This record gives sequence, structure tokens and C-alpha cells, in this order.
Amino acid sequence: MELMIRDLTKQYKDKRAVDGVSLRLTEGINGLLGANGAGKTTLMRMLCGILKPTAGSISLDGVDVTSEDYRAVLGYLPQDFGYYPDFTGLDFLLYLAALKGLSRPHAKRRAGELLELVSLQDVGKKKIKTYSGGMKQRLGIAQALLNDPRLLIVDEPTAGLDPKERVRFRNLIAGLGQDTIVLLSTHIVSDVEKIADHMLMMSDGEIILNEPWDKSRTDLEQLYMEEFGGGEE
Amino acid sequence: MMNRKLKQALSDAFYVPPPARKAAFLKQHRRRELGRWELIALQVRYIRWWVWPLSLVLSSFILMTGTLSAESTPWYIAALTPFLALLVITENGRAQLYQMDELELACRMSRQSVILARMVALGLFHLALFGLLTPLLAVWSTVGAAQAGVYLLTPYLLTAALGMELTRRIRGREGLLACGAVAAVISVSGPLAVNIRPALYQPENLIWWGAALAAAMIAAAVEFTLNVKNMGELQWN
Amino acid sequence: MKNFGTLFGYELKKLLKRKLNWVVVLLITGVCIVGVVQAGNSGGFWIEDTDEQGNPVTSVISGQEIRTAKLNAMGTLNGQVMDDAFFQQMLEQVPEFDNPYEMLKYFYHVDSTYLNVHTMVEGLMTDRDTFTAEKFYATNQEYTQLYMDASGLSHAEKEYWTEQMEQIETPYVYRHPWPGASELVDYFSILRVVLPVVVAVCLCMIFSEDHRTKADAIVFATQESRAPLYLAKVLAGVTEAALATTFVVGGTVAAHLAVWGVQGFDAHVQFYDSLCPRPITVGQMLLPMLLILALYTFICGAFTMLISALTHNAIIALAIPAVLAELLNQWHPSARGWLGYLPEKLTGWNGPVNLHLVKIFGVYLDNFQFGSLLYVAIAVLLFALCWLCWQRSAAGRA
Repeated sequence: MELMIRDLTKQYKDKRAVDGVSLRLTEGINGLLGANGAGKTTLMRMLCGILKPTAGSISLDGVDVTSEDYRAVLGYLPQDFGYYPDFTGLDFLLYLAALKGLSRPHAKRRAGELLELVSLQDVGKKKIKTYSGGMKQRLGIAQALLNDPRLLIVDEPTAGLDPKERVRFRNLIAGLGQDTIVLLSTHIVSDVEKIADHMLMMSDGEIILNEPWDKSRTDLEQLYMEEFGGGEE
Repeated sequence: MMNRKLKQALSDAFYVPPPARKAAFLKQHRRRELGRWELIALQVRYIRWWVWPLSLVLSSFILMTGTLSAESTPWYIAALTPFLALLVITENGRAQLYQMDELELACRMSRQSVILARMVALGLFHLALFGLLTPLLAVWSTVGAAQAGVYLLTPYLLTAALGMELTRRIRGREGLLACGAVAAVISVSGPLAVNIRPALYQPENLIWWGAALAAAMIAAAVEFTLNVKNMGELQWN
Repeated sequence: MKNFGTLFGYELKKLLKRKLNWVVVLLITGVCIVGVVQAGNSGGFWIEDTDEQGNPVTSVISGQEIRTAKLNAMGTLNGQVMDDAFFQQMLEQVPEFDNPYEMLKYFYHVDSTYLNVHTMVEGLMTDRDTFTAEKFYATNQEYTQLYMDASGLSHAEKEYWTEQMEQIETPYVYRHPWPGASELVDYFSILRVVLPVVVAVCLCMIFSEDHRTKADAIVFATQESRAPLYLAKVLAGVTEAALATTFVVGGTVAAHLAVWGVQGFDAHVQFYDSLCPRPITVGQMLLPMLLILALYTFICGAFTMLISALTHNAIIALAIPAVLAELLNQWHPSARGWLGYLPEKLTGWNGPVNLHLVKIFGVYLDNFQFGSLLYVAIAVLLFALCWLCWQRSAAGRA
């Protein structure tokens, strides 16, 4: 399975948020590091088909990003997402399951499984507005997994989470990478250092690093500082 | 009825191990997925429940004001229909308002189909209400059926057209608020217009109303098309 | 309350900077002005007549002609004492009419000098030949008494108004009343619908904005966020409502003055409505009605703010007051009891001739006076309820 990205560009007036990015991603955890404003979120939105590129193409095993079949195997957790105010956690999952085309019995079963996976089974029937930030993020990852995605795009999932939640999240993502292409963007090095199979770095809309990653390495932070400039004082 | 203790003992003796490779097994077998029409019907369920009774309440106000007052002038009939159109527009803009648009866009079912389903469902419901109101107003008020129909539809479609234009141009709650203001202004435009043209609501001017209705229908159709087209992409930066 | 001025300034700035508010206020003001100017030259009468051969003919007296005739009549009789000689002159000049069409043709095509006087005496003049000034004043008084009886006034109320009537000197010295008075009072029916909607648009987000932008958590954690901030918001809302009202009502009144001129406000109200026993001028009649209209707008503003505080939803805070104002304006009950204090009654033609009084601390208040106090009380009550909602929100966030 491979995700082919060819000369992908997104221009907005006089700014190129993503500039001629070409990538080939396969199963496993692909970490995407970059500072704020590097273009990570724009890239990810284009990979999800929710933003039209100015130029370039995206396909998953030959299936174009604009097709329904592409979205049928896509799971996406945005950087910041909301919820309808009166929804419970379960309602939220069932609603999105409906949008993902799951039948009702399947959706119910899957929602139950995922609530258990993300440890929200006790609060599934409570309204989302009562959830903490970490619980909301876990619910977010649960919805991204509803349709057993072959392509999972996760945008800064650990922003605002406490260290314990971050480790939990990391472990959850690590378990998914076996037969799924996972693209995980973050600017927190420790999120990806131990779990990524492939490392990407992005700056000013361009990919500046694209190489396989050895999980035993511990110099990601140093590498990051070298690539983005500014070492230790 | 089996003894509880016996049941427990049997369960302990014949312990069932957890299923191995369950996920892989399930993945091999193709699950039945919802068809397009089933998806659309399901979406209609997600329209906020109170929209339906509120539409009925507004319609009954229209009937009341058009028929109960001996002094009722026809513009009363048109005064509340913009708020019905506002219900449709706000339903349309809910995903953006609650920051659910990104999640919904990334799902298999295209957001255009979702919004189309909801708008068509609500629009048809309102049309049915108008269909019910028109003959009742023709019998119980001072206007004929053609007049009643035109006075109901024209401000409704005008509000819908302007509202869709505004929500496309102005993001989030500000856009919806602007739609609310448009609905409010159109609703009071009746008495203002009558002051400028006293014969506006006379039967002999029905042809002009017909032209206005046709223009409003075209505008609404154009805006609807543009809106649906616009929904395929996240409104970015 | 040390930074109240700053808080008020910022709250007002938030409202004044909203483009939507200005667009709606200026649009509505513009349409009102155009409407008044247009209405001044529109309307008219269909006249059914016969030609020389006796064939039926329909002609028109246009709105333009009506307006010209009314304006031409201004000032021609001003200063004349309405005594026997005055009425004699009128009877000599104005012919007897066989039907209403002849009367209209005479006054709008021939001579409009006695148009207003004729309207005053027409119902009182049973016999032209024996009509005198004494008969005019006696019949006028008699009809006014009959009206008071028919209105269900108490003995004390009748006494009060009879005393008031005695302050009006007879014979009258004629002053032509402002010809735009009826048109302006009619236009109040439009303003009663338009103003609540305008104010709802301007104020719907005043208490919901903080919630929407999630700034409420920060705001409520500050020292001045309870009473001082609430008062600052309310005062800013009242100021915005006053500005909006000034634009719309001011524009409407200015347009009426442009169309109908500025003469005639000092004419006794009896020249506008002969049954009215109040010893006031036309201007003194219109001013309290404008005040009531303004107070009604403030009540609508207070209601909008209450809904905004209750629901934290600007769209609901806009829609509910707008719909209710439309519905209220379509309710036309008789002006009995408390219903006489509805905005439609106080600012309609019924206002000056609603003679019911309320006694407070030994002082009689007429409908305008008591209505003003009542409206202020309602506004204060709504603001008090709004305060409770605000407090609850603040406590919930704490």
C-alpha cells in the first residue's frame, strides 16, 4: 500500500503554504515534524481531500484523493475539532460512523469497541461538554478509527495533553502502524521519536528531511534543532 | 431455570479463551455498507429535533395573523416566512459553527450530499406547510390563493438566497448573525414597502409579485448550487 | 467601580464597531425616509362624477394635489377668532355639498382654505342656517361629554377632564395644525415593527459574545466583572438603542417635516381632533407619543439583552424579539383597562383621546404619563431579570 504525493502545492495569494512536496509513504508510522506555520496542517488537509491543492496530485494505491473510495479508507484527527453541543461521546461516534457509511449495527459495535480501546467506555453516554481535554482527544482518535482506516492522518494529537495522556496516545498510535499508513504531525519531538518508522521534517512549506527512522535513536531533538537552526545556548 | 451457581461453575470449567486474530478475520469479510439513499435518510434524522415543531409554530402564527385580525393586511402573511428560511440556513451552517466541518469533510459521504439531504428535507417540509397554508389563507383571509402563495414564497426564497450568499462570504457565527439580520429586515420590509407603494399588495400587482418570485427562485437556485459546490472544500484562511 | 468609564467605553466601542449594526440602521432609516417622501405624494381619492351628458365619469384627486391643498391652507386663517363672524364667512364661502365627492373636489381642486375648519364643524353642524359659534362650542362640549360617558370614565375622571377643558379658552383663535400630524401618527405603526427589529439586530450579541469567544472564563475571573461590567454593558446597550432610535425616528420625523413643513405645532390639539379635551398643542401631543415610542424601543432592547443573557445565543436573541414584535403589532384589542397601555394604543390615533387616569399618591396621571412610568418600570424589571441571568452565568463560570 502506498500513498503517492506528487509536486503538491498550495498557494494563497502571495504565500505558498505547501511548496512542491513529493512523497511516497507506506505502512507504518510516519512522523512529520515542523514548527508552527511550516505547512503541516495544510499538507494534511490536502491529503484528506478537504483542501484543494493549487497543483499536484495525491493518490492511495492509484485511487485519487477526490474519490469517495479514498475517503472510505481514510481516518482523520484534526488539530482542533468541535462537537455538536448536545452530543454524548457515543452519539458523536455513531454520527460520524453514519457519515463514514457504516451500518447501524456495525457502527454500534465499532463504537463500543473503540470507546473501550480509548478508555471512555464509562463516559460514553455523558455529554462531550463534560469531557476533559484529554478525553476529547481520545474521542477524536476513536472517531478516526471507526472505519478501520488504511490511511490515518493525525494532526498534533497531543497538543494540550498532560504527559501521562501523551504517553497513552503514543502507545495507542504505535499499535496502529502495522498495516496502516499513519501520518502523525507534531512539534513535540518525544511524540514520534520512539514510535516512528519514517521521519519527515517540514519548513516553510517544503520537506527538508525524508528518511527512515531507527526507533532506538535518541538524537531527534538535536537533529530537529540542526535542521531548524538554533542549537543549545 | 439453571441454578446460578451451576452456571458460574460451568463457565469456570469451560473457560473460553479470547478470540485470536479477531480484527484480521473481521477485516477479511466485507461488511454491508449503507447505500447512498440510506445515508441521506439517516442524515435527515440529524436535523435538530426542535426545527420541525418550531416550523409548525411559525406557520400557525402566519395563519393566525393572516386570518384572525379583521384589519389584517397581506404583508402580515409575508412577515414571518423569512424566519422559516433562517431555520434552513442555520441548519446548513451548523458544522462550521461547531467546528465539525473538518471532520465531516474527511468522511466517506460527501458533505455536499449531507447538506443537500438536510436542506432538501427541510425545504420540502416548508413547502408542504406553505401548500397547507395557501388554501387556508385563501378561504379565511382577505387574499386569494395565488396571492397567498406568492406572499409566502417570495420573502422565504429571498431570505434563503441572501442568507446563503452571506454564509459563503462570512465565516462562522457572524455569517449566521448576518443571515438573522437579513431575515429580520425582510420581515419588516412589508410595511415599509406598502408605505412606498400603497397598492403593492393589491391583486392587480400580482404580476410584479410573480416576477419577483421568479427572480427569487432563480437567485435561490444559483446560491444553492454555489453553496453546495463550496462545501466540498474547507474554507481555508 | 473605579474603571467604569473605561468599561463602558469599550463595551460601547464593541457595539459601534459592528458593521452589521450600521448597515441595518442606515438601511432602515433610508427606506423610512424614502417611504415618507413617497407617501407624501401618493395615495389620493377616486371621484365618481357625471359629465355634462350625464354619463358616469371617474376622476382622481392625486396625493400630490392633496398635499398641495393642505400646505396651501396653512396660515390663511391663522390668528382669526372663531366667532360668529368667522363661521358666517365660512358658510358664505363654502357651498353646501350634495355628496362627499363634491366636497373633495371643492377643497382639493377649488379652495382649501376652510378644509380643516369644515372637518371640525361637519359633524356638529346639523343646520347650516342656524349654525353659530355658540352652537359650535356647546355641541363640541356636549359631544366631548358623550365621548367621556361612552369611554366608561369614572366620575372623578370626568371631573378632571372637565376642569382641563375649562382651561381651553373659547372662542378659539384659529391656528392651522401641522398637516403631517396624521401621517406621522400613522407612520408610528411602521416604526413599532421596525424599531424592535433594528434594536434586536444591534443588541443581540451583547451578552452572548463573551460566551461565543470563550472570553467569559477570563472576564468572570476579574474583580470588576460582576455589577460594574453588567452596568457598563447595559448602559452601552441603552446608548446603542438610543442612537439607533434617533437615526430611525429622527430620519422619519425629519422627512415628515420636509414634506409637510414646520408650521402648526403650536396649534391647539382640538384643531387636530376636536373631541380631545386636553389643553395642549399638536406638538405637545406628539412629543409624549415619541417618548413612548422611544421607551418601547428600550423595552425591546432590554428584552433582547435578557434573551442574549439567558441563551448565550445571538441568533435566538435576534429572532425572538423580532417575531414577538411582529405578532404584538398585529394584535388589535380594544383599549380597555391595561390594554390601553399597549404601544399600539399609546402611539396610535387612540392615544390622545384615551382619557383614563391613574391616581398615584393623590396625583392624577394621564395615559401618556402613567404609560411612560409603566414602560420605564417594565424596562427596569427586564434589566433586573437580565442581571439575575448574568449573575448565574458568572457563578457558573467561577
